[in-house]
Amino acid sequence: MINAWSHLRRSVRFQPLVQLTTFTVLVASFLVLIIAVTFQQNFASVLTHWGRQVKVDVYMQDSATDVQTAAVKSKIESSRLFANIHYFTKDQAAARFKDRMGKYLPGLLDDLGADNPLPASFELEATKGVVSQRAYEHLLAFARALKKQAGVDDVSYGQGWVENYASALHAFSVSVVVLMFVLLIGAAFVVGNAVGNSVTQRRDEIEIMELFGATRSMIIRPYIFEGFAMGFAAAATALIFAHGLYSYEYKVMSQSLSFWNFQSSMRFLSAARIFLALLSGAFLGGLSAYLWARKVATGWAAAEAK
Amino acid sequence: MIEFSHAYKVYSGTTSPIHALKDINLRIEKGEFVFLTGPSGAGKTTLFKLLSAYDRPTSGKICVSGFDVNQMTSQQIPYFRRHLGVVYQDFRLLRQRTVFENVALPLEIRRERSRYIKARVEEVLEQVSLFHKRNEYPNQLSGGEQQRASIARALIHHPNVLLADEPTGNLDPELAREIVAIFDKINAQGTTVFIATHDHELVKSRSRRTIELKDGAIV
Repeated sequence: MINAWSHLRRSVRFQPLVQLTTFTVLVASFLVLIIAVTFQQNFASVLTHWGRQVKVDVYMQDSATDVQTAAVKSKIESSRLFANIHYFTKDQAAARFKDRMGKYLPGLLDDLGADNPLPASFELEATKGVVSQRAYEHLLAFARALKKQAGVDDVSYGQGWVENYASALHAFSVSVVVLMFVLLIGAAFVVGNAVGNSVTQRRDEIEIMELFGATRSMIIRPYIFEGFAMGFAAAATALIFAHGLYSYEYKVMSQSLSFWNFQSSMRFLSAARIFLALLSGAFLGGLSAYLWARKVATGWAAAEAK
Repeated sequence: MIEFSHAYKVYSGTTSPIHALKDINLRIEKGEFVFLTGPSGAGKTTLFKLLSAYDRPTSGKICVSGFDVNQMTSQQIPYFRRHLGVVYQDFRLLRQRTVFENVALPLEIRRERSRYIKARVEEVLEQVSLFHKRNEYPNQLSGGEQQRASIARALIHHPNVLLADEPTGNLDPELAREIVAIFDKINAQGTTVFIATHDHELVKSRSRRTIELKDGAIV
């Protein structure tokens, strides 16, 4: 039997340059993909971190009755969109305002108790934050519905910021899908060609095997194994490089941008994704080798070479 | 054993088609020893390529060892090739394999046991006086040694038919005689031997059937 390990050993020993070139191209392709996935994962994580900080304020009319206030509270609670619900009466709102601003405007606030312009309000924190377009649309719909509720004067959720943030999140998600697709196609093409080049350079080997009666599967199998092994090794090497780059970036983020606390949201690929990357690398290498070897090993490779 | 019936091989040339073989009709019986002679470009190599299913005829019928070369499916071709022992003019040795590994190739393809492969390869390498070079690579051998390794590989699996294209072309006369002696021995064991050569001295020294080709046709 044609030993796949011997075949691999011979390839590395006798075609070190071809193998090294192929391996380098594979590592570079996988590295680009892994960096893209890691970036996508972490950027989404940072956006999620920001999205969790969205707060909603529901301002009540001065004329709102206790029944109307209770109905608003009940509606908020039943929506299950919010984790922390705080109600502040007009007096509590005035007291908070005085507490925060009193030292800057002492005289002006003395008469606030007699003619208090601050409304009673609910302060809400979104349970899961606004971490997706869907969550944003939910929040928007709820705010509109709440605004129509009797006794409610206005609903504020930092509209401008949240809208921009939601648009950015949506654009980012779409861009990442497109980018990943383009990168994947590009990487598959580059990997396929690199492995194909390596197979074609050993066409004479395939011809001789055919001329001495090796079947197509006998010839192709060692090439598939070689492509599989090379794809796996390249993916593993790319993961090591990517982890090195990630660690460096993490250090930079921790030192230079610590006030944004990005590092708390940053993660390298999970074990499942690492496994998937290794498997994809091996699969891509093996598949490319299969397609190219199959193209050469027609049974008449020697005659077709002329 | 070998039969050509109105076989033609035409290659597409740059200006007009090249008729490499024209209306070849011949029959070689089992156990025969036949020389194929003719000047360079007469079509000897083309005829051998068709015989070994290295290439396909343009038209006509070729039967070897019970296989109809034209009618064979792509799945049958490897099994047909295993019945042959072929010595190519350009040796066709795998440069990444040692002499031992090259000679063992047909047996590996037949999935023979490694113990048998070792014993058989050593036996054949002794026959062609290459045992001491068994661990060397083709690029470490002289032209004659590469030819002998190629012959050893062709003999290793006791083929029904042994085809040799200019097997003594790169050898000195003494070594050429030794090689032909090996072919005689193989033939004596019942293997059909068909040798293409333009070495007239060699052909004259043996009283064997000779087929002569000229401009792609048998004369």
